[in-house]
Amino acid sequence: MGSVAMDSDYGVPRELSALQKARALYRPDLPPCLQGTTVKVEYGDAAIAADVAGAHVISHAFPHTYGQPLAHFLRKTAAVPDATVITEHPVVRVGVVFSGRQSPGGHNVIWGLHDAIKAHNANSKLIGFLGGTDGLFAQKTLEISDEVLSSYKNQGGYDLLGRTRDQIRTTEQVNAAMTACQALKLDALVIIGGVTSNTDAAQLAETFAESKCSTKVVGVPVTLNGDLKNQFVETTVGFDTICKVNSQLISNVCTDALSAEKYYYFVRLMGRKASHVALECALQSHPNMVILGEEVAASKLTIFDITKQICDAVQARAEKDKNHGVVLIPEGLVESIPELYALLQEIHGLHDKGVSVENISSHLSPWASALFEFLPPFIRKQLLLHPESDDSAQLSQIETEKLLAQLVEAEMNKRLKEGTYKGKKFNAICHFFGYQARGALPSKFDCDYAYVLGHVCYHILAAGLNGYMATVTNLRSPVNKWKCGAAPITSMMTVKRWSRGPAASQIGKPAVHMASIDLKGKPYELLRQNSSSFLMEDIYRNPGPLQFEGPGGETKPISLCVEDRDYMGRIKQLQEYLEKVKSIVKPGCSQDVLKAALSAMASVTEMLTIMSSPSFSGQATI
Amino acid sequence: MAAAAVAANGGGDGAQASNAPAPTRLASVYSEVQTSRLKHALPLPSVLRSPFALADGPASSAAGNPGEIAKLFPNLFGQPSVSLVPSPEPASTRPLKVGVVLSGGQAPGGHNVICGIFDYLQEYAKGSVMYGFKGGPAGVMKCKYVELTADYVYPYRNQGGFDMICSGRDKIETPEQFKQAEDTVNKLDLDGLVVIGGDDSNTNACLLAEYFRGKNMKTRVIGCPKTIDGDLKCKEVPTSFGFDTACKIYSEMIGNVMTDARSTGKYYHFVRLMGRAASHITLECALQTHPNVALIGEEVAAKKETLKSVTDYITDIVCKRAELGYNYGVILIPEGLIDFIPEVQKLIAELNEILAHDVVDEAGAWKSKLQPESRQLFDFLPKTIQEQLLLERDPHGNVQVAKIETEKMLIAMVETELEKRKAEGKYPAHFRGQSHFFGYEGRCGLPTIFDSNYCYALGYGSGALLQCGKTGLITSVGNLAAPVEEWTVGGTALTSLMDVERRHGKYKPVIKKAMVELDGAPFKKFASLRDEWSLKNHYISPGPIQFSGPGSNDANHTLMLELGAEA
Repeated sequence: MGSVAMDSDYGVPRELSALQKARALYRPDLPPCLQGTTVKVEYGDAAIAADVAGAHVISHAFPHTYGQPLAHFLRKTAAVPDATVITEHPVVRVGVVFSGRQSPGGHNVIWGLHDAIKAHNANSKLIGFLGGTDGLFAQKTLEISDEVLSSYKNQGGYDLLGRTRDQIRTTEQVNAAMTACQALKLDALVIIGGVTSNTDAAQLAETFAESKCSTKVVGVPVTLNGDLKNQFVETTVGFDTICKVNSQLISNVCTDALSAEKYYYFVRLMGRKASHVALECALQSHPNMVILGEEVAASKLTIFDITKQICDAVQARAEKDKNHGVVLIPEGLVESIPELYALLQEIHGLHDKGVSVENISSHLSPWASALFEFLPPFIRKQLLLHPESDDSAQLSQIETEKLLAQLVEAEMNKRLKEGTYKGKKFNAICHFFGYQARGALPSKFDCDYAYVLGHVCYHILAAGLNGYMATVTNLRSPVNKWKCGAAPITSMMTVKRWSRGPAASQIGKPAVHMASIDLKGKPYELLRQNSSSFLMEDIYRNPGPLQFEGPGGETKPISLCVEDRDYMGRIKQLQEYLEKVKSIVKPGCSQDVLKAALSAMASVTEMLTIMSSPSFSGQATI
Repeated sequence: MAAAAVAANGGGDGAQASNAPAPTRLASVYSEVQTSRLKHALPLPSVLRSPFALADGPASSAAGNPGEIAKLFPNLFGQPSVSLVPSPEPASTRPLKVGVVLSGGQAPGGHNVICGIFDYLQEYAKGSVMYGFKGGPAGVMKCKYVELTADYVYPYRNQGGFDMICSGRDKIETPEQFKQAEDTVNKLDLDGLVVIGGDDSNTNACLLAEYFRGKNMKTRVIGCPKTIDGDLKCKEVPTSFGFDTACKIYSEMIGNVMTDARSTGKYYHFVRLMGRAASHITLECALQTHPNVALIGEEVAAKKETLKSVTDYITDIVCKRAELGYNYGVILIPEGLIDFIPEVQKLIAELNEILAHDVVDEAGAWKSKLQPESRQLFDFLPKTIQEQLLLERDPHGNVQVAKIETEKMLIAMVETELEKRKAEGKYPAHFRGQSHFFGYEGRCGLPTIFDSNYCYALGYGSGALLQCGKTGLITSVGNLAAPVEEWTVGGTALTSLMDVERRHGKYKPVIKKAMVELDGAPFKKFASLRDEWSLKNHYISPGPIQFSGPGSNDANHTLMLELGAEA
């Protein structure tokens, strides 16, 4: 951002609608462990990477920050003898930056962080970087104050500070970031983003530690995609809102389909490569079909297989006199279809070699060239776009829904001509739900979650932790039962080996990779159990417009509620059990007690050893 | 779901009673919000809460060509509009047989009109029977109906969509079709038929009423004003239902796009909005969200704009914003924009003529049949739009205006113009356009509190008019700026809304579409503010429709401005 006027657009007081004004007055609650001005932290064991096979690679890449302990933040009155209590809160200077696509609730992280900093020392300062990572590199700042925040509390978007490149990765960028932190004397830098941004945060933390830069780096899990998900992170800020807004629109389209009885709607949903948004929206709105990228990849379906699958559904419904329907398509589908993904890889490889857009088609390999020629002109043009900063295709610009609709239409017309299909002519209408959802007013859940995460960031800083991500678990319970803590970002990393073209490096690089939908998980199972009735029975469900008061105001993502996950709480509980065993089985205890303990521990250890071996875990995929 | 039992040209009342149809919806899968709306009891105008009688207004005329209208409607012309007034004596009651039909595109609240009629009959005309015709006017012609019961109607209370009985676009217009309708209403022994539709459907309702009256049939016909486009309204009928809900859904999305645009700072979002004829939706959304640009079709026509001048208008604003450091913006475009540009209309007319007689050859020789200015315009258009104009036709062989992606056309044209200015050193920035069409997702949402209440009152009012023996009226609910209890209820003579159009050498009655009035309060307010909106970023994000809390009862700006309740 070169222009002064441009920067002055960020963080200025906004004009708010009546509803926005009402929302600006809402104040989220804090769980007990964050209330007051005492920071009480209990350290767990060193957090290892879940990816056992990759642990040595990760520890080698992150020698200073790998293997740090989990941190659990406790209420002041918690009876934990070995907890560290921090009561002195010196003046601190904290920087904060938006990195990654705007997600509803991001503003509340900043608000929570600001409130926490000021509550503990009124002279501390929160400094926002204008224009995202570019602002960090260029040291363009805005001091956050209550006045600045007043029209951004509980509001959507990222226009308090803005965002740009979403990348802190190259040596040049990392050095610029370090220079900025040192010049501004920052005690901490909070990076708000998804998997890529948090990977960058971990790398930055490592570099700072190695260079003895005193700035601590903290990551916050904010991404509408829902793909930053692991044992420590149950869901991300923004996911709830995006799914609710999309589901409102999807279900309106479903009702329209049912009312007009003559159109199929192909609805593509923003959410990057994984299909979390599509899955959650399907669970909320009950469309006839949802094509999940993960299923397609697992079954290695081609674009023609998917087309046939949809056509068979259209035909089955037509036999019951239903000539309407709704099909959900995640925007990442194009990268889950093997032949399209391979084509994209070739195209991106040619981009890297500097081949101009006009000439790429003539440089494609024979099979890729044949596929490229088969595709309609609009898709070809879209596949030729340069990749995003995280190296994936510009998924929002690729109109996969139109491609599928055209292929389905062609196939149905063919069946009509051949006489294998005798129903009515197939009519499709296409939609992309993306930009109109991600700028939404955040749901109450997202407001609460984000605000609490902001407070957790301060606790991480107070505890002197570097390279950690703020976590809140037990989210499906009320706020007063949420568990707050921090986990090393390195413990969320995996190592994947991939190759793009013969020249690419074969060495895997550790990263927080996006979580795919777990095809053995409960949310997916719930979808599978209902998919045939969704397909044939039109049991559409309308969540309605997102409500902030009254019925519907307290709802949370279905995929969050059906899972029973409180990893941080359970790790802590396990440690409590271990401590209890230690205190019971001491030298001098009875022989029977000792025997019982040894027997139980032996069987537990054996079972856990089997479960955590690489051959058992699917996470060691190469 | 269990398929609804549909009787076609058969089945007596006895058979129907023993074979009660099941609704096509399952309330058990409803969300928390749907369930709460389902159980929400609706207020009514107080005149409908106690005994009432009808008071006649003065004799009516016609919006235009009263002489011709009188000839077309000899039995109905001149009848007064009526209003419900409190009466010490309750109107006489007897059981009625009433049919209801949904006609044309979906609009949120239609189910509440049906529920209103149903509840009226239950309350004031016990023992009545109500039928819903399946699939719109086609159901009336083919006698496809379902008997509406309390259980059947229940899952649809305060819910969006038209799927209770579905809708259709067929028109009852040939003598054979009128005969079919006659056969249907006689078979079901209908005392009344309620037609819920837009301007064309209400015209048809009036033709049916005239036909039935001319044959001395007992069946009365009442119309209800439906359309999200907002183009069916007049002094007596202040708004059509669905407009409020649709505009709020679109404005929610537009507001979100604005927030998004400002967060990233590098996209111009071109948003096409429904409204094939009038630009009421675009205007209302502009008033709710304050976009940088909103094109109002009626103004474009009045100023005799060309595609080039519209493009230049947008491009000029993009350039000025770039000078201020803003490389993002939001631009609203009505769906029917190109119909308001005479040169485009002329081009389309010429294309229709050429394509009706000739084949389009690849080499382009067919272009020589175009007038020089039409040819120039065609060549000026982006290639994708050229293809759309040539290849996509409606069943009658005409250009499908709704399918022309006007927003993409404008993006391409603005892009071309900016490249030219960049070459001249007048535009230093980088333009990126992102297109959107907000349409189908807005016409079947859960109705707003306003639409829910308005529709219920329309339904109740329709029942009252039928019971009082009125025909050829459109139900009219007024005083909408006041609380629901103070709303007025009555019926307006459909003939009084009509004019004639010459079609195929014959005079045809039409209810004039209400276009955006350039001297009306809503447009004047917009015009007074838009220059400031274009360069400063006064974006407003209305957020999602709320069913409780502040603002949940508010009606749209257009209505409030037209009623003088908002400045």
